[in-house]
Amino acid sequence: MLDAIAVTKQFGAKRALDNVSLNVLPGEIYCLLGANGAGKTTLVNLFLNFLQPTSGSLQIGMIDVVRHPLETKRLLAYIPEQVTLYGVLSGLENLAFFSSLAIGERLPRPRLLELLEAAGLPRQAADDRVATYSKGMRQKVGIAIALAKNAKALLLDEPTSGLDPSAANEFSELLVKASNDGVAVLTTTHDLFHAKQTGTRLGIMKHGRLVEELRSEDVSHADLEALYLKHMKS
Amino acid sequence: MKSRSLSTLSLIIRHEARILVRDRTLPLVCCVLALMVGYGLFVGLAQATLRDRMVAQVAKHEQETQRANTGTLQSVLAGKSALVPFSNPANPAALAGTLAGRFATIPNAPLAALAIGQSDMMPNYYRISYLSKVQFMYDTEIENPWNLLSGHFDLAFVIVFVLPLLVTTLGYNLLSAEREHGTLRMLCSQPLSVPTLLTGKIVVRMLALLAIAIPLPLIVVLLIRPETRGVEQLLLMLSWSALITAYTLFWFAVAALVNATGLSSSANALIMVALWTTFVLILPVTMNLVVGLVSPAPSRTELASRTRVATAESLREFESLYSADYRYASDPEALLVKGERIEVPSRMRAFFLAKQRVDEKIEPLLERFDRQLLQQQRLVDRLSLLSPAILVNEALNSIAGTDSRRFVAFKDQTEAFHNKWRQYFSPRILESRAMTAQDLSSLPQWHWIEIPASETSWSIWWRTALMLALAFMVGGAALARSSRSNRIAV
Amino acid sequence: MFAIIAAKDMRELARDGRLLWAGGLILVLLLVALAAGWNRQVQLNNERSAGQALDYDAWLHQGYRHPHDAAEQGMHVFKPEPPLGVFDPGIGPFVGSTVWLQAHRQSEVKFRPAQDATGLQRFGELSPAWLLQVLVPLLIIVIGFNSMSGERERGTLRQLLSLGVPARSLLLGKAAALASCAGVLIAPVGVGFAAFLVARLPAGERLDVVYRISWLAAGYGLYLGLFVFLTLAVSALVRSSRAALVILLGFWVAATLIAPRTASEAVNLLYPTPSRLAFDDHLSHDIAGAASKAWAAHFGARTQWDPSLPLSKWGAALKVDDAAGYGALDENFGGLWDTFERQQRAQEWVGLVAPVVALRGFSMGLAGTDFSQHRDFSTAAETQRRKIQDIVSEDLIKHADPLGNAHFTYKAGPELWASVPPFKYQLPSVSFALAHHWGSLALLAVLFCLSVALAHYALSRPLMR
Repeated sequence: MLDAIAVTKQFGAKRALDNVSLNVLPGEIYCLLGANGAGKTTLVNLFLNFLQPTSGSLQIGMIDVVRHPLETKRLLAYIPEQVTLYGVLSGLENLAFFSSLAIGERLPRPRLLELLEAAGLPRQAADDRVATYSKGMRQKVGIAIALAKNAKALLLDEPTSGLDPSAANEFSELLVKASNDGVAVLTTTHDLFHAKQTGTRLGIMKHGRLVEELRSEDVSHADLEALYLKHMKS
Repeated sequence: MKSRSLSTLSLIIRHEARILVRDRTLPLVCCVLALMVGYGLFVGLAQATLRDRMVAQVAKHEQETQRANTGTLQSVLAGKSALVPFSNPANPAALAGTLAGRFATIPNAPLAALAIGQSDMMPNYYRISYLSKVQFMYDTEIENPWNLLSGHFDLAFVIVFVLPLLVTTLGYNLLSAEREHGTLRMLCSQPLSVPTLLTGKIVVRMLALLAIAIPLPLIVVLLIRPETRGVEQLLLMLSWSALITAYTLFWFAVAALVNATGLSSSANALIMVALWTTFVLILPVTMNLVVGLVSPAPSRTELASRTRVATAESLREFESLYSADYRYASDPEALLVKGERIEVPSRMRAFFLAKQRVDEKIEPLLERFDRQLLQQQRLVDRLSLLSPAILVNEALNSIAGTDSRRFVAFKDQTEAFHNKWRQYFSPRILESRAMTAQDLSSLPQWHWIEIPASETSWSIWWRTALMLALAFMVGGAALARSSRSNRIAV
Repeated sequence: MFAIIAAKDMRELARDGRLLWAGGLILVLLLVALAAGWNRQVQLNNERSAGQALDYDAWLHQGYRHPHDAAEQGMHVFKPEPPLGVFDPGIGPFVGSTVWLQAHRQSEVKFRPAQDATGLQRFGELSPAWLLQVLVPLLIIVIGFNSMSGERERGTLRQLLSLGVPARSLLLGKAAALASCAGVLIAPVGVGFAAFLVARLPAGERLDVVYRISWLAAGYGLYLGLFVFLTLAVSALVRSSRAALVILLGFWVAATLIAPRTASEAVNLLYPTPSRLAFDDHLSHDIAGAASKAWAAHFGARTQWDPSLPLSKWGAALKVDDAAGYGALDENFGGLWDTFERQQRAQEWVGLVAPVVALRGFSMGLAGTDFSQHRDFSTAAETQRRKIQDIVSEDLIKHADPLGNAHFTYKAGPELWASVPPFKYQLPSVSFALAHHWGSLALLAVLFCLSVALAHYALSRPLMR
């Protein structure tokens, strides 16, 4: 569903991504691990067409991202580390706006409330201004947007950083639920524990290269940690 | 596909409107604009009314003098009143001069309230008599020079100076705020193109500003001044609206282009203010300097010297008339109308002739001034292509009928009328023909001939078209740039 | 301590593109404005002194003529351009500089240059004063809006404060940096031009001009200093650089562009200017009234052409007539000019919120191009006119009145013309200007102190919030 084919991204003299290929199939949760600056976020930005690759290509559902940005974005939902919304609007209004942008029609209020509930936002918060929300609550509106969009692919950038453990767990459960529905999920993270827990496949990036790809069921926690540290040190 | 992007656009528009109303930016800016437009209009209306009243007063003056002259003439002819050489209307030299009570007036154009332009400086009436042009054509309206220097707070000022600033306030952070706030990433991860987003944002802001700036003055003017309800005036109002729309669009297009560069809000604000300062403040004053250097006005000092020389020469020329015996004080009977004749005192005849001669002599010099001014105006027309502010200001003044061109036409027509006035009296004075009651009612009449509407409307529409073209060019560049660079979101 | 901060800030500003571009542009405009102003002044002064000399010469050599006709030809007098008119042309473009002194009527100053210009004139005149009043404050805002807020946003303020830098040093350092940036632009040009100007003047006028320049420097110093401290205060008080910029720009627009116009509209409502028609009517009415009273008193006649007033009393009648008119003229013109001055004084109160209004009046006054000095010239010209008129009437009484009906055959000669002195006008001294404008300077000083106090308050509050 999410395909990167021999992608290289050059920023001036710096090579941020070096011949990276990966694909994420429907129903998979692919966790990208790596130090800061390894190129994880660059890859996410490339899938969003916020950046264009120097060479190689990216596809979502076999559609080229650069050539058909609007079509691919229709298939895609994105939840950044900080879900930023319009502070003067309520959670519900934000969801209404973004979902109509995404699917081109306005969803009725009961459906919007349903989506927010499915994302785990308390019912009574739906009509409060987003400016009063915590980070976790904003994240949930982000998930509700993704749900409303009925996306085939989900892109997540450090989604659990800064969330308290219970919120992070809740979030992971939602991811698993989505992947069970056949969504392809690509998430970047620092959190080895959660990656092992929720991911079906893991990739480790270093200096712009994908240095290791493995199935999460093939490794134990301890092995993963050792492997990760080995790559980080060398 | 088309309908999809249209519905996205309308969604963006509704969303933006809600955000701007919620965070109170739009109501605040609209209130400021409404206040300023209202005040500017008030000032314009006050000035226009003042000028209307002056023209009416002058007309009344003229009628009163006419009536008084007729009355005096009748009593003089009937031998009832004492004869005074300078105030006997039967004497053509007296009627051509001190008793004339003739005025050349320029009425307000119907839309005068929309821009004060040059009308606070140029006189809207001249007192016509046999005096030399240098004696009456350089009278100016009385106004505190400090106020002339400050300029008026009229609607044209609000539009040319303030409107772009309000556009800047609403538009300097069209995209940069979304980026700094982080919402741009969210937006761009949706199937939405940046040009659509930009267009939607501009449409809301522009509609809000124009919904105040255009209808408010037009409705007030239509209500208060009935003379604005003609077809021609409605067409002018249409062009006025088009001009303002184009100017607003231009500034929004500039804001869009600045935002498409992807700099921070502060940087955008700086760039916008720099552009505004350049277009609205620096370029016009520099152009003014350039116009003065390239096409300088002839020297007024020289005019003064020439006038003196001409006056001296004509005094010498009519020396014998000036120094003739003068027996009228002791012998008023000499001034009685005898048949169709009357004795015109030689000194009065000398005054008339001398002034006429002075004008003949300095006419070429005065023409040079007029030519120079026209040449300067043509230069301004060309230079105005460099600054939208000049372009719009000139067009606004043309619509209001307060531009230099109309006042130059007034001056020209006045000069022609002045000549006609003299020619009417010249044979009568030279031949000592007495004025009759019938003559008094058939004196040359002043009629202002309005500048052809086609000329005005052409000068307005080409400016509007140019402004629109400019706006579309800048806007097109902004949209093209914003669609190419998706990096805006990063 | 503050010197270190100033040095650091200046280095930062020098490396920033803003100062380079905006400052460069202002510098170029300043030089252009000075060159153009100087060029115009030299040309005008040459023309005027030549015109004035020729005019008096023509008066002296006008040959034999009836004195009343000589007064008809009259004399032109030209207002000398004050040397600092190059710096601030003031109301110059909107008042003329030529007066035609003729018999019977007070002449007004004619030929306003603005009438010979296009509508562009109304956008303003590119003069050094305009640049300093309008654009340099903008420059200060543009380079200084983030001097405090930027430090906070970058986190360097935390550093500075943890080092124990006192607020006063911070304030002084930052102010010194901003002021020196503006100073580096203006001072060399200003000092250079002042030296050039003073050197070209005759020795007698130098001292006065030097005084004027010093006072101008003080006024502009206070004004620009006000903007420096205001910028710092806002930058320290406001949460973000963006907000600081928006607030400062808003103030600049309101204070330098909108306030002057609003003020002049408002005072027009308070002290309305009469229309020319109303003014002329009133004046004619007053003169006629005064004259008929005077004739009745002196000759027992109702009008000038009363049979009881033969031509043998024409010179005497003229004298009485003119003298009667003087009072009415003084009253009417004095009243109009008082209205203008009242309007201006009322506007100066607007200086409390829009310092540019106070500075503008002060600047024009010290440059010698304000209304009070224009009025002084007009009064001097009118005095000269009356002098001519009185000499003429005296001569008529002596020589023409005895001729009876042949009154107008009398011709005076060069001796009479020579008895009219040439028109010599001395520009008022600096003390005249100060007497009119000390209030504006005091206002600027008060505003400056207020801005310093505000900046001090802003920086002495807890800066990290």
